[in-house]
Amino acid sequence: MKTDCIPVRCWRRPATRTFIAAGFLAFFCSYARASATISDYFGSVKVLKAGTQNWVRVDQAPAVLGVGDQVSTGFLSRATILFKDGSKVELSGSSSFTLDETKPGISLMSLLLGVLHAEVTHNPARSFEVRTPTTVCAVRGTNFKIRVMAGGMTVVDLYRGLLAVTDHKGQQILLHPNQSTRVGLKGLPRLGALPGRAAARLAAARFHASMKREMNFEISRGQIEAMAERDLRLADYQQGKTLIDVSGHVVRVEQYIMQPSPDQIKMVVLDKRQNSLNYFYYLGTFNTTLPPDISVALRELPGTPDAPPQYYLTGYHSVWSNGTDSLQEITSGGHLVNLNNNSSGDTSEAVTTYFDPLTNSYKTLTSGEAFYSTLFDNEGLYVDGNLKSGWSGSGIETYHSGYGSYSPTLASNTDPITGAALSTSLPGVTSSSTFPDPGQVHQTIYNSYTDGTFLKFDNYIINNQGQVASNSAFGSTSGTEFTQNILNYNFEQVITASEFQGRSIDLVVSPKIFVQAGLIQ
Amino acid sequence: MLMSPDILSLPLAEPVKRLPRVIVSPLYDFQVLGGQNFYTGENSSLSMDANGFVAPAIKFNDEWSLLPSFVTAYNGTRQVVDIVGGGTAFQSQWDNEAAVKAIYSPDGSKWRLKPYSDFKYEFLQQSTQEQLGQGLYDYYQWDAGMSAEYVYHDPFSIRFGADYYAVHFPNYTSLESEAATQFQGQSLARELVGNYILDSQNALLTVSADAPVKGKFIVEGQAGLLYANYPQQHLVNESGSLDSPVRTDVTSILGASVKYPHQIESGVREVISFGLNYLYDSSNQNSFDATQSQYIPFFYNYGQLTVTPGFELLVGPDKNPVDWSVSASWWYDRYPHRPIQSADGTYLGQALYTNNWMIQSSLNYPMAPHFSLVFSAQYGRGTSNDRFQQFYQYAFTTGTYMFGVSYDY
Repeated sequence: MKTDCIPVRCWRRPATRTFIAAGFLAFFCSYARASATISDYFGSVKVLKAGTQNWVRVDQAPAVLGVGDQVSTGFLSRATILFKDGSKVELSGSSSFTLDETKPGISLMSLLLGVLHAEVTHNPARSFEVRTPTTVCAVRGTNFKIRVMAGGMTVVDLYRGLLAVTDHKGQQILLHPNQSTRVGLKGLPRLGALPGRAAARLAAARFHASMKREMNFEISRGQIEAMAERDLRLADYQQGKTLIDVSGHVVRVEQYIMQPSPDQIKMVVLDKRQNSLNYFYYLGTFNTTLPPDISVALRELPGTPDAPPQYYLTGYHSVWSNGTDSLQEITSGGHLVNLNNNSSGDTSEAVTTYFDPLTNSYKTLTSGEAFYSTLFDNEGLYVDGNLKSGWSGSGIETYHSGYGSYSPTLASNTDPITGAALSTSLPGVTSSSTFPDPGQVHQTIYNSYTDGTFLKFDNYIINNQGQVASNSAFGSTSGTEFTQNILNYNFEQVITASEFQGRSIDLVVSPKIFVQAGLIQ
Repeated sequence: MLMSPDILSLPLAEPVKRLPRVIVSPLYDFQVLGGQNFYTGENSSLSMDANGFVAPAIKFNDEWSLLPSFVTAYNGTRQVVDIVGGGTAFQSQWDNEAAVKAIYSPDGSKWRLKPYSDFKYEFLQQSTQEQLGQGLYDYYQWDAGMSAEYVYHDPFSIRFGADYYAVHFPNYTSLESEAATQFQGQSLARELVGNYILDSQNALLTVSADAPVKGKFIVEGQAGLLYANYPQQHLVNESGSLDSPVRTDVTSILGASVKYPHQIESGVREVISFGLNYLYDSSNQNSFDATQSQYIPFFYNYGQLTVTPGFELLVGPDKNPVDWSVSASWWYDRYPHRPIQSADGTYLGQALYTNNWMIQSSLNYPMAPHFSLVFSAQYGRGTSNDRFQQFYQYAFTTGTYMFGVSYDY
């Protein structure tokens, strides 16, 4: 095995060392300062100058390194050492490094612990060597990495060029590109050992780390994209498009307004549960063409004090349906009546408070103050398309009976809307209202008909979690205070009827639509 | 001192094996946690989270690598960072994403070019009535893009990304379109009503960078521009009807963070961090509140400011330390065009804002290489100037604790 001209051997020779020592002072000033510098660093990097006792933290780059200077890098820190010929050594964190020699034609250094990555410029006339506790690596133009672990185990990876590795027994090997070896206290591995496995592992580890970094980039990009989808969902929740009903079921809700013709407004509520779509709509026909801002007309729906409203209904058509069953209320012959001074003389319908849709509040009228509202001459209530009840009249001034032509006549043999004769007389009806769940605002209105059929409304006041409001939160279960409180909640109405054969119409709706339309009073 | 002949004359060392030219390096990350969520005084039952990814990364040579990956995440426990306002039912969420990314590193260049494509499917069950795959907000998206990275000082780099993706919500169609002719042939839908109104086509541009500063800090910054087009969602006009133009959103994102890694003593490290992000979503979509007859232009516009200080303590060997972290988040959302409402729904003049903060802590205790016990806890609060809580509860407190194991390779 040839050894006499391996650079490390040359350097280790006493004569050579003597030569270096003798020439040190002479060459130092002219070469050392310019030959190696810490050109860049990150984190905590300290230097122990030759002949001194104190480690000095590097606080600016470049920092000159002289022969015998030691460099120490802290946790997650790094330092780049640049040589005059362009060669570069990068120290990773927690490394301990000594610059043993640097002058034209020779660069010698030691790595006691840590990781060193060298990029050595090609120069056949120059010796570049790195010593570790267990090896000496001698190179020319090459790119390699050395890792020294606690206990002195050294791992050498070569990427480009050639690298001679010598252990402390004098055994030598020559690494070619993409080769790796590890050297412990026992020296180079014996034939048959598999140091390449470690090298492969190291290469894989580097690749592994870079791919983990790529995965982090992927996750970061995915977060931005997911945020946009999350915002869509949030907006739906905030607009009440997804609610929970009294049974704990998720229900989708859409409420919107249409204008089928210039004098009409249709308020639509659509509720969808897993497999059913329930809906309600209120189609109002006004006395005249509506303004571009339809809220002006809608505000006048409940009636106006002092002066007749500019816009009032001449009829409406309300529909509740589950797609199979339906409940309809149809009216016609709408006209304005001053409820506080009507021609019939009936004072039982006098108004002392009225709902103001603009402020969502009830306002009190002064004594004798006029209040104009719409009364409808004709009304029909239909279950699954069949008339259940209704009335008819002409220019009625009160809904109560007993005031002659000012009162409507209950429908019996004629459909009040179509005028068609009925094959059988309409049954009579008795109605009751109860609160079956003690302490909860759950109202049941039960209409019992003399033909044995029924029509039942279960009205729940629920919060955004589908929980039924407690009586204590309301104070009362009727009157304007009650209705005012309802506006702070959601309203769920479950309609059942004999004709529905066990099915129901189940609607969750913002109560204001019902209050505004006079369906909740 | 001529080395060349001597070195070349050395014997090739037999023990040395050639570094493999093709490297396959699988990446794994799995976490299984159990936990419980508390929401404004109500407790959920114990539930499970499980997530992880597999990515068999392949290095063909020094220039080309391929990163196929599959990521899955099942959340049975609502997190504080999820949407938690009232009415937001939550049963479980399951994300699945398959992706492939090629990485081209030209020899001798500091540039890396990375074309990629992925497919994501998110299942979101809001209640037990929703079966897997039938969730209202389930969605899937196709994604294709290219990123370029300039590694100016490894590992620090500047990154540019351009991304196109399309999102489809298969179970979300507008009820209005479903009910178009529901009753006796009468139309219940407005003209121009769209069907899949949440579906979108998106383009995302990003730039991000990180850099060391004064040898002590690591500074990261990012900016992004997201353009979203909703081809089936027509604009709502002042009368509540729909106009022909469709909704487009532009979201701008700016963020910066600084980290201070520091070794306290041998085997004890800390990382102090602070992040600041700002986002503004500008949408041309309006809203018409039918119940209040109120038109709200640019309803979806909002700005969000987020501040995230954090502290991490690592004790033990570099590869397997005990890792304890605590961090806080404060985010402030303001909707400049959305007026607040009183409790009964009356619109008032002030613009709506929400104030949210969260504090979280986690502990990773290593049991074996790559294998850790994990404990984490989150606590958050939300407030707002909006008093209308019929649909969504802006004021809440919520917390989550989780514990389990993780495996990371």
